[in-house]
Amino acid sequence: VTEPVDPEVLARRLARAEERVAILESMLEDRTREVYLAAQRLQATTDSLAELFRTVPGAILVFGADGLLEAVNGETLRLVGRPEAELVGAPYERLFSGIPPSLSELRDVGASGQVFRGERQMRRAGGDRIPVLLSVTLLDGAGPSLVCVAIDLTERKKLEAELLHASKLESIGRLASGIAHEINTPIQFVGDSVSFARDAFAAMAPVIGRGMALTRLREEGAPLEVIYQAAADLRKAGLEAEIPFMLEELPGALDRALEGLSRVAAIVKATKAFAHPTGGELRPADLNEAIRTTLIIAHAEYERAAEIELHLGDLPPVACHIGELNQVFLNLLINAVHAIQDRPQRGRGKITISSHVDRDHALVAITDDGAGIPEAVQDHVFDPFFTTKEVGRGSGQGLAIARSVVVDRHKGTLTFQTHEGLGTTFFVRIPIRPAARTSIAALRAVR
Amino acid sequence: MKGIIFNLLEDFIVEGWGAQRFERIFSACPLQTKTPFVGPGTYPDSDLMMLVERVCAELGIEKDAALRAFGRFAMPRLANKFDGFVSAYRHPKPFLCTVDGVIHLEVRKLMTKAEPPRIQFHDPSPAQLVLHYWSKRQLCALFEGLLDGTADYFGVPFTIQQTACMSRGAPTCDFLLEFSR
Repeated sequence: VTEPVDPEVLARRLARAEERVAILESMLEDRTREVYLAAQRLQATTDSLAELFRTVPGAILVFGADGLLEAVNGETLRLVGRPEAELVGAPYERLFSGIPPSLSELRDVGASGQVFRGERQMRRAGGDRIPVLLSVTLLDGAGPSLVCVAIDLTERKKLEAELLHASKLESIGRLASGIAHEINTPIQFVGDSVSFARDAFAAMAPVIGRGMALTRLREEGAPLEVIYQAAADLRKAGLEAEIPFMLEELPGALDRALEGLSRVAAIVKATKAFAHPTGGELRPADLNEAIRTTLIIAHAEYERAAEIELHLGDLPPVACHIGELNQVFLNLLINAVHAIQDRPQRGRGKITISSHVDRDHALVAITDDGAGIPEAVQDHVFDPFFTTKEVGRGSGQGLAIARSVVVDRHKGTLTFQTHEGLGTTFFVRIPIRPAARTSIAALRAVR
Repeated sequence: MKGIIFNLLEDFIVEGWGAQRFERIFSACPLQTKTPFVGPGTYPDSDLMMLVERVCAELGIEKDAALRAFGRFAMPRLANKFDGFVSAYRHPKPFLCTVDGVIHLEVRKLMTKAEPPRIQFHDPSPAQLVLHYWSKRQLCALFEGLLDGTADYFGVPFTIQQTACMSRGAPTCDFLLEFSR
């Protein structure tokens, strides 16, 4: 720049620079005010979110990218019964049990834009475990990596268990008259047989007495005429007591009595097994035995309506809540009976129950040749309180409970195939846990 | 148009032709804006165009050439002022790919009235880059000058070939850049 600058130009430029500074100062003030107000709003939002985080009635756990816990809320502390200082830094896997999804699995789920949801257990101080509904969101950013929200299911599980037990007791109440009938029939012929044995003993007692008297006379060296008279009395008493008939009939009567008692014992055992309270842990059990138990206690329900055909295959012990599965089989059996009773044709129907191993599952199929399920209601059969039965015959809870037991409690499946007018098959698939792949013989040996 | 561009234009003229010349040009323009331009302010595009046209008339240079020279002048200064957006790169190609998605996005976030051009890119090969410029101002000559300045700033020369222009009816102004290294 070689041209000399006019002082007037310089003065104009200086004045413009000063005005520029004033404008910038004004802009800075405006911006400072905006920033201050924004910071206030941000603080209010932060406080509100912090309060929400603290008080929300669900456990929130925030993990870093390394899988270590970074932050927890008050509900988490209440649930696990530990102070925050003990929890922060704990690895993700140590806080949950029940096969938590691994970090890499969660990344896969997160990458597909989904949220992991599943029932898991949280470990409490002291070793107890709490059932929770766990949702895990994977965050994609530089901050925390995982956000877990755990809802305490303890009360729900308790209510579910109570509902299941109540349902089981309701079933037993409903079946009580049938069970009483089942017990009454053998008890009657036990009574008849025992009465016969008592009468036989009463008839044979004099004969035995005379025989013992004759023996005593001979041992004491009584005169011959006395002994002959005693022998004649014994023969006469024997004829009067029909000894040959008694000797022929008495063993059979006693056998019948024993058989009757055995049948009563079987019914009592089945009823006891059916009403067995549900425990918290899955235990290996024989599903075929559960089916037989159900058939015993429900005998009066189906004997007039249907004949039963059993095709029970060789099943390994299945880790399950056997009392609950008894309830499932009973509900499906009663439904099958009702379906047969609802069909237009008269006469007994047929219920086929089969079991076999289907890959990693034990499969139980219950087929009836009843009325079938109309297409219009097929989507609703598992809905709670849904029923097509008249008042008093069905609560609409049977299949809903069966589904809850099979799907929620055992991670299995409950499905059906139906043909209107021809019948329905319900398929119960229960996973066979690898640890349970031992023989039934081993299971019996443990008992 | 943001005030920083007006300020850079003033610097461009003052450094090239002196303050007296600038004042002459500036005082001869009946601008809408009556206050001095400040960097964060937003001013009418017509004011910039009036200044550019007056500069061209005063200095006897063609408008596109003036805009391209101004772009080349402005780019290193912008880069130094906002080096956080530039210093992470050692080569102009990856930097140019961030102009629309990062720099202009931040400009729009910080200055709600700003209307930066849209710069989309296509990466046909390692030694090439295709840029699609779109702005209602249609200042592709200024953009080409900014590309010249980018090469200067990084010290990595590249050729620029304009293959389409909005002023000739194309939907965007397209540039093919070829890098020798």
